Amino acid sequence: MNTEILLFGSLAERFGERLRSDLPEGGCTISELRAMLGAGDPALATALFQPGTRASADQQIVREEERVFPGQEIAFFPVLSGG
Amino acid sequence: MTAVARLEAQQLHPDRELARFTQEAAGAGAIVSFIGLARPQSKTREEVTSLFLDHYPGMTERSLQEIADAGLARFDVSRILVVHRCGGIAPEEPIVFVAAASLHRRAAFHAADYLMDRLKTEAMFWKKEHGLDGGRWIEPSDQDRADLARWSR
Repeated sequence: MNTEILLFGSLAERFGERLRSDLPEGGCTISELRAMLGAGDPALATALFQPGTRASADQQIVREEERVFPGQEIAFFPVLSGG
Repeated sequence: MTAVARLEAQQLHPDRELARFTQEAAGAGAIVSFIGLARPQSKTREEVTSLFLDHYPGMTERSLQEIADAGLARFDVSRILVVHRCGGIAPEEPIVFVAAASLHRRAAFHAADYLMDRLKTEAMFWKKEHGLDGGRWIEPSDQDRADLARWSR
């Protein structure tokens, strides 16, 4: 199932506000998702694996080993600027 | 006791915010308010032509509310207001407004100071300065982080 991945800040500026990915039905971990998204795009891979690039699922910040599933709201974002 | 946090996509009017807050805080003995303005110069003293604050709808509002709630829980204040801009902001426009009301002044001063230190590092925004030479994304400074650390002592 095609799932939309949201990007923010400098990630959105460089790679667009939304990416699409075919998440496996059984889900995958955040670090697997980073690798899948970056597979065809070395610049995106570098940005996604940059220390400080965090992930969220359904608007909760999640760790690398957390599994995410098709249909969830998944986002990647760089270090916060604060207000 | 109430903590209100609001994300504002249009222009922020600190005078109206303060007037409404003062009404709502009836019974307080002290109100401290703070206005943060978009600086016309970058840290390296280059001209800033505009500022852009990207946000994550839902998560950003929640980050503001959590900070406002924490201020209310931590200090002896009766009311807190946080209003934060998002989107495009011109130099010298208000970017954030914070107010705290209390029975005696010290708690309101401390609460406003605390709210700003947390907002500067933890509010969920990605901020880009546009200048004549292009633009750059901003991260909290060492000073911002040191300011925040004061509250964990």
